[in-house]
Amino acid sequence: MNGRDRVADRRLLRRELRAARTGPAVVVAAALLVAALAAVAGSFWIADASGASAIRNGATIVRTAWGESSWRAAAAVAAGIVGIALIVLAFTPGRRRRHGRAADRVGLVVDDGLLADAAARAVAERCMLPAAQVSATVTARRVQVRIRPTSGVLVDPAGASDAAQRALERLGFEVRPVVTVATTGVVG
Amino acid sequence: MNGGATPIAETVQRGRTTLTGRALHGLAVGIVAGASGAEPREISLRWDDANGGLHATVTLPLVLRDATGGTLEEQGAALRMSLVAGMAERAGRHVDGVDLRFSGVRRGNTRRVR
Repeated sequence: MNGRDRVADRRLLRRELRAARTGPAVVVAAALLVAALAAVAGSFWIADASGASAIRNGATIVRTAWGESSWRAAAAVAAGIVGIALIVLAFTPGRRRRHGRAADRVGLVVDDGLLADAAARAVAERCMLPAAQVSATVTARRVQVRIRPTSGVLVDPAGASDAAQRALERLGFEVRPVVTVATTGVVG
Repeated sequence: MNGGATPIAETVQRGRTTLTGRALHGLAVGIVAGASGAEPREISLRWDDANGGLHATVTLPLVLRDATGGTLEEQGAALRMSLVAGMAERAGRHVDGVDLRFSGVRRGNTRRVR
């Protein structure tokens, strides 16, 4: 595999792991376009106050609308909502609920839910528990395994953690899971 | 104490043995009946979870079998021990506590003749 392929693979992997930002980009572009058009129209109007009647009519409509406080409030609320949404999108990592890795010949993208299932199943097998008593959550950097023990049967958290780690390593992801054992068990 | 539930390291086992709540109940009633001499239908038993351990609440009649049965305290302690040991041995369950309540007295070896 040459360097260009590797870069392309990495880009593909990144695209699979991150959420697309097409929507916000379109909103920003539209807002910028409107602002630019308004600036052009405004400059025409300032340059020649008795100029194009269409621009003057538009300016009059805008001014009368702006005069009403309800319109101003509505515009402020809309701008605020869009602004907050854009700020949130800018600061959040925007990752999809997937894990990926680039191997020598193939790139691998796995849903977090699948990794969680694999970890939970391995722990249930290792601790000899019904699958319903083990649940796992996979986030960007953490794998959390929660065990509800069977009453009267001791659970080995270190062994459970090892089992989950081995299951994830088999899939090619090296994460150290965090295992928590609930204080109350299930009778049966 | 959890002999039945300890996995054998690194051996691949297909399938699993599970005990239902009813099975645990039946097993415990059998152990108590065997140890006390009471009839299984005279024994009422409830399993609860106590911070991950098993806790039993048992109500049964006191069966007077012979004069060498020991004090009530001793009989209760022996019964509790036999339930704890029996559950560990048969089901691999660690029993944290047993509450015992004698709800009556019954002479042993009495049988109703029809």
